[in-house]
Amino acid sequence: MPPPVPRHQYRPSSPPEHSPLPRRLAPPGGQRRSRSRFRREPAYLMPLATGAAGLLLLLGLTLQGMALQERVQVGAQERLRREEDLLASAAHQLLAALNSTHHCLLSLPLARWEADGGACASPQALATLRRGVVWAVPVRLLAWRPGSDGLSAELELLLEAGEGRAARRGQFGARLAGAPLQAVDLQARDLGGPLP
Amino acid sequence: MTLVEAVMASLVLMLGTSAAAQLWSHGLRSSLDLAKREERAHQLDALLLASEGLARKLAVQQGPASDCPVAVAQLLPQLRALPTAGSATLTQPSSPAGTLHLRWEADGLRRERMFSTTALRLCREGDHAA
Repeated sequence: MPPPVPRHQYRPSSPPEHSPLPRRLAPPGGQRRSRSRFRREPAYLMPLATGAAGLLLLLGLTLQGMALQERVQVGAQERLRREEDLLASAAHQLLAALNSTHHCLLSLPLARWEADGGACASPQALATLRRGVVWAVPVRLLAWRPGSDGLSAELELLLEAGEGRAARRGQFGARLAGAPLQAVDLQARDLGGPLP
Repeated sequence: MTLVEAVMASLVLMLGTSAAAQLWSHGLRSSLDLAKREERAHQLDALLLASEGLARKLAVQQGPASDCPVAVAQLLPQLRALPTAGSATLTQPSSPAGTLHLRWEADGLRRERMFSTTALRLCREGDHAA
């Protein structure tokens, strides 16, 4: 009978013949084989990390792109509102001028202003009425059409293009009353979009 | 996997996450700013409409005033007291004769319109001191 080996010195290189463990579970190459497996298997970590980082970046860029697109849309809406303010202000400015010193023009269509409006408007005043300026933006009077009832009129203005702004047309309806005739109400009918 | 590979993978993931977090944060902040801006724009839009409505209402109640500056002076405090005004400020810049220029501003946004005082029936013809 061999002498007993102390526990800390026992280093079996292979399971003993009488071991209850199946043979395939025994580490035949010892620590050498397990080290090589550690080196080979987790090689997917680098592509995985790169892929994950790329995906996160892509999501971030998408969100950024959406924010930029929203910014452009909000900017465009603000520009449209500004143009609506300009058109409405130009219409009111024109009515103020007509009501104060050019009453006779209210009952005349624009085409007859030069011929028949001399009684209340000089040629210079007519030119100013036809081409006005609101907050340094030129606005052209396209049409003034009194209704057949004599109590209404249609007004059409053109906001001229410039400074990155497209030309824009606006239509308004005015109510006329009194003697001498006066425009007593103004409603926007179509402030349209930019002209082609 | 060597130690270098592990460090590189961690570094790539860390850099990617950091850059993505910055993009997300900037994008979200930008979206929130825009939402606030849009809300302000709607508020100013509503204020402009309410201003015109109130001026017309006053004109109907009192009739066209013979003293236009007095009528405008009466109107302005009522406009400033509009419930939707909030932190928006109202000013009245100078404008051509016969017109009333109202300018609403809030958080760097501005909406303004000129109104014919006679078309609003706020003032009688000839009283153009607004």
